[in-house]
Amino acid sequence: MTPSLREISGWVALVVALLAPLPAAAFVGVDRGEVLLELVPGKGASASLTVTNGGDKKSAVSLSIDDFEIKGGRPEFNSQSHARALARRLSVFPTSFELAPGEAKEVRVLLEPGTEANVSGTHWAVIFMQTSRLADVVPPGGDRQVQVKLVERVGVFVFADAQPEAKPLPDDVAVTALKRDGEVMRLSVRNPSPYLRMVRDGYVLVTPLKGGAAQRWPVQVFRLLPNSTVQAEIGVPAASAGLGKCSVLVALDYGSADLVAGEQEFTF
Amino acid sequence: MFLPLLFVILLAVLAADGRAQNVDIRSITSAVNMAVTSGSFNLSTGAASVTSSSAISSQIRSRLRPWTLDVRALSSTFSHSPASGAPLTAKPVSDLLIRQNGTSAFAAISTSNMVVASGAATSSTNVNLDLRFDTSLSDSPGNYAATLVLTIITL
Repeated sequence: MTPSLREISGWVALVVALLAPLPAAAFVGVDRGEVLLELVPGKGASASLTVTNGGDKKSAVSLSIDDFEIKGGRPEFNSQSHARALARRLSVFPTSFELAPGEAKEVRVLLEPGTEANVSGTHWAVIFMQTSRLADVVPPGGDRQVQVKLVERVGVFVFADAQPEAKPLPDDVAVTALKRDGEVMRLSVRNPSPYLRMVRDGYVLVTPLKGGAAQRWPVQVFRLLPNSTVQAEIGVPAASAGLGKCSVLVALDYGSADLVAGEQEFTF
Repeated sequence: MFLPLLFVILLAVLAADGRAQNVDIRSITSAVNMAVTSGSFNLSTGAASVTSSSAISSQIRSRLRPWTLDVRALSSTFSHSPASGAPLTAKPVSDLLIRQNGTSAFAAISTSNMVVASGAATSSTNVNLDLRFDTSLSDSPGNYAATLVLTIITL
C-alpha cells in the first residue's frame, strides 16, 4: 500500500517538529542519579557513568567529589566529614574534559580498597558534574550594575553498603505523616536504619466512604536516606475532585517482607 | 515499506536527542544583568531594591525520580569593580535574593545550598527564578558581580 501525499507530509512534519532546536545552550546530562557499591575491607570496586552534552555548543565539564551530611531528610552539601563519609576513598577519571554537542563520555568511579574495618551501614558521597564558566572578568563600571553568572551542576550520589543487610529487609520503616497540601499529598517516611533503603514501588488507594469505585494513584520511586525522615510528594489527580470523604491508604514497597502502610481520611 | 522506515528514523531521532539521559539541567540563561537607576532609590532612606522577574530560566529533566534544584553563591561577597574614584566595597552576597517565579517570599543567597525549586519526575520542566538586588546610596558605585551555582539532584 502506497501512502498518500498527505500521510507522507504528516510524518515529515512530525519528524521536523522533533528535530526543531531548543535555544542554543551547552549542558550536561548523566545517565544515572546514583551509583551503588559495596564496601568490603581490602577490596576495591568500580562503576561507570555516562556524561552527555545534550546542548548544541561545546561544553567543558569538570568533576569533583564531596562529602555531605543528611539533615531534615535531605542532603546538605557542606563537605563535612563524618563516620560514614566516603569521598576520601573515591576517585573519578577523567576529572575534566570537553564534550562536543551530542558527544558522550564514560567516567570511571573508583572505590579504593580500605584497610580499616568499616562502620556498618551505608556510606555516602556525591559526585558533581559542573559546566565550567567561571573565568569571566568584571569590567569596570560607572553606575551600580549587577552581573550574575550561572554555573550548572548535576549531582550523582554514591552509596556503598558495609556489611549489607539480609533480604528481605527488616520491617522498621514507618509512614509517620500524610498531609494534604493543595494539589499534592505530603508523605513523611522514617527510616531508622543506618542503611539506605529505596522505595521501589507503591500506591495510594483512595476509597470514597459514601461508596463508589476506589482510585489507585502511583507513587514514584524515592530514596529513604539512612537514619532520617524523608518527605515525598504524591500528586493529587484532578479526577479525585468530588469524591467526598475518603479513606486514603498509602502502601510502599522497600524490600521488606510486608508493605509499609499508613491510612488517614481526607475530603476531596 | 515507507512507514516502517519513518518509524526507524523517528526512533533514531529520539535516541539522538539524548533521552537516554536520566538527569540533566539546561540553563537557558547564562548571565543576568540588572541596573540600579537613580530613580530606584528611596530618597528618604537611600535604599533601593531592583527585581528581575524570571531572571534565570532553567530546564530540568529527571526521568525517574523527584528532583530538587539548589542554589548557592561561590563567594560570600560580590566581586566589585568600583567606578572611577569610588572606594572598593565588600558587599555581602546576601543582598542578592532569589525566589521561584510565582512564589511570594524572597530568600537571601549565601554560600550554603538552598532549595529553590523541586518537583516530581519529569521529561522536561521549566523553572523560572526571580532575583532581587538590595542596595543603598552608601554602597559604592560600580559593577557588582556574583556567580551562582545551580545544582540539580534526584531524591
